[in-house]
Amino acid sequence: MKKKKLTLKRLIFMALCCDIGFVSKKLISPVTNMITDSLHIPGGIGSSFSIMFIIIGAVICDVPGCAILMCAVQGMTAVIIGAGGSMGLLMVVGYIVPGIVIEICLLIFRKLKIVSSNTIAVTNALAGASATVFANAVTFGLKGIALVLYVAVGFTSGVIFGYLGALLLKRLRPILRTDCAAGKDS
Amino acid sequence: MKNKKFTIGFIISCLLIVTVLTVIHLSSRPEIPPHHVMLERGDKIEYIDVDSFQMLNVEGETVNQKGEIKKISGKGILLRNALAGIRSENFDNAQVISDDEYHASVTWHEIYDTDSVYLLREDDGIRLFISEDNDSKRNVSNVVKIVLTTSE
Repeated sequence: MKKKKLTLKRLIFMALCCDIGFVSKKLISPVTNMITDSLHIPGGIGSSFSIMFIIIGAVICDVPGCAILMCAVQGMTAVIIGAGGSMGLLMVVGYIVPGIVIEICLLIFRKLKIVSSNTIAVTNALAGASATVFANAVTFGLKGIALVLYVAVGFTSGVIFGYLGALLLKRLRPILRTDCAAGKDS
Repeated sequence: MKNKKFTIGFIISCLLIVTVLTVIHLSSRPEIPPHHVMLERGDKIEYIDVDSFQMLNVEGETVNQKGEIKKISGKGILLRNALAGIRSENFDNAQVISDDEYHASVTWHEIYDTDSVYLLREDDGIRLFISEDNDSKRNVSNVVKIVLTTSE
């Protein structure tokens, strides 16, 4: 089996996914805050939306470790521009944790050859839930039903955005397959 | 077609679980009147009416992660004064918790040995403000609860 490389086109596409994920999280935060404020929980929806773009990048590029790389870049960008929020420097780890979950899920699903909209949704959901669990451990310290609801919101929004991501992938793949997915630099 | 049904069913079941959890979570939350703060110490629960105290003019600055200085001004009360009425000086830390469960810790020393820890009264709630604090993360908005803890 031919080993896939990080070509320039793949790197550009990954950078694009990173940026869209990072910026879109900030863009939708007023809406997501309205929902989470009414539930009296500290968030969880925006991260799942941001993770959707990481998964799109990881599935299209199909290079082991690219999800972690994209998440690390997002985390470092957040720290550099001072958008680290309440986590501070741990924000980098907070971004990398969902990346690790995405890598593990995609590795398993690719081995089993069952990468579909359902498995992409599950990957997004698990990555979203892991982000909420990490944020809770570092910052919020929620307990009991509040914690369960916080994680459930992260998981459910992950499922919804995962399906949305799968729909986007369906449309993007035919366009990108010839160049980016094949890893051709021309 | 079967796949689509599974997808819709999965999303609906997730949303149902969230709805049930939301109902349980919201019904288990204590009702706190506006501009009141719930004070919890062990099993004891009391309420502080911020409006019942004489308001002070509060002005100060905090520094955020980027090193930017933010000036804050408004009306508020010293946290020390808020706690005085309930004779609760025997603690090490006060955990100030907001409506969305975000929280920050203030030490006994900061509350009683400095004049820097305030509860600011804002139109939409109460804010914890620590003057000259270089950790702006402790500017907790929508404060609803203070939990007093001892390190023992």
